[in-house]
Amino acid sequence: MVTSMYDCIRVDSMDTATIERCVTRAEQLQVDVCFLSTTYSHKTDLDTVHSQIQDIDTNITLKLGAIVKRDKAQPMTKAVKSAREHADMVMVAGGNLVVQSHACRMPEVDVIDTPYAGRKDSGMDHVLAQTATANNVAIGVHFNDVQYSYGKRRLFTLTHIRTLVALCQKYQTPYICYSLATSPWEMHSPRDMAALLNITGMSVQEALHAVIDYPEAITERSETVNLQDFVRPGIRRESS
Amino acid sequence: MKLNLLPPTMREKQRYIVIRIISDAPVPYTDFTKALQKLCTQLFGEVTTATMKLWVIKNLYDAENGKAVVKVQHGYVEMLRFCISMVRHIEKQPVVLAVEGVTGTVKSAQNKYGVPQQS
Repeated sequence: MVTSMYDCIRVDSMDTATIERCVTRAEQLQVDVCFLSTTYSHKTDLDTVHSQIQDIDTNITLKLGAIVKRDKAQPMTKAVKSAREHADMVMVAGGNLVVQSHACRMPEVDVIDTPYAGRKDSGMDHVLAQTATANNVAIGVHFNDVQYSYGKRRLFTLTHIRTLVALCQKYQTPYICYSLATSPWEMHSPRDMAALLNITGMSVQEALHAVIDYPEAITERSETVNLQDFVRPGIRRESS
Repeated sequence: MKLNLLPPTMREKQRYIVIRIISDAPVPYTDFTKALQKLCTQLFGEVTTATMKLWVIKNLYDAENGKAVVKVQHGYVEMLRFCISMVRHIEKQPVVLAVEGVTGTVKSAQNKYGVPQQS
């Protein structure tokens, strides 16, 4: 069976040449599918990225990702529904517990990105983990968060990841690991990124799900969720 | 006087990790070794790094083509993989290190991943 390795990079305010360099680096690092994510404020953000990647000649599959960053639940819900129609992956920036708890209840959300961002705890508890599992919302672990932090901050980040790993194992919550690189020098091989989850308490097989199986499920699901008659996972509106 | 070779049952199993070094300029062997050992010690501590028996094989190090083979004790491969991916700079030069493969013998590392024997 052929398995595809996934990664996600951040292309906010990147010019076409830099995106091209990132894509070439992704090819070198054995990435098969690459999500090019941008902070979502309006549909035009995704259109800009889409126009930039159209002329790139590459062997890997490029997909669009939207990062929704809002302080309150209501604007987040609105932005997610809007982004869902245009993006292949919708990520909600973590850190705010109210926003996160709403995001866990939305089947339109694919990933909650770094729930521990700017917090003194992991940002997820057993209730949120169970809700996320029910709605197939994955927890995103950001490799460069560990790489680009030092001392106390790195220790806390690893501790939070360890807590998230334990929750994901107990409640079968999906999880993914990505670099969210902003330059070609920040990119990593997906197999090496899975080693982060391995050292924080997962087996090698479980860690590999984070870069192979769960991102693949997200791409498959995004095709279903973007359909007009979609209501919830497993429920479709009957056409009259 | 030379020490005798240990019996096979007492020898520890090793793994050889083939690493690809992506950088603008060639990275010297000493700088690469120092960077890897420093980061390993920083992340896992002196005791674990000593148990890992980390060793960068000098005659298989190819600075021009950016390839290195690192010997590590069996069971510590994932730890080393994590260490390798955490390297950002070597002597202020930005680098990306990626694991190409893991083998059980030097010979298979040379055959599978085309690591040339350096003089």
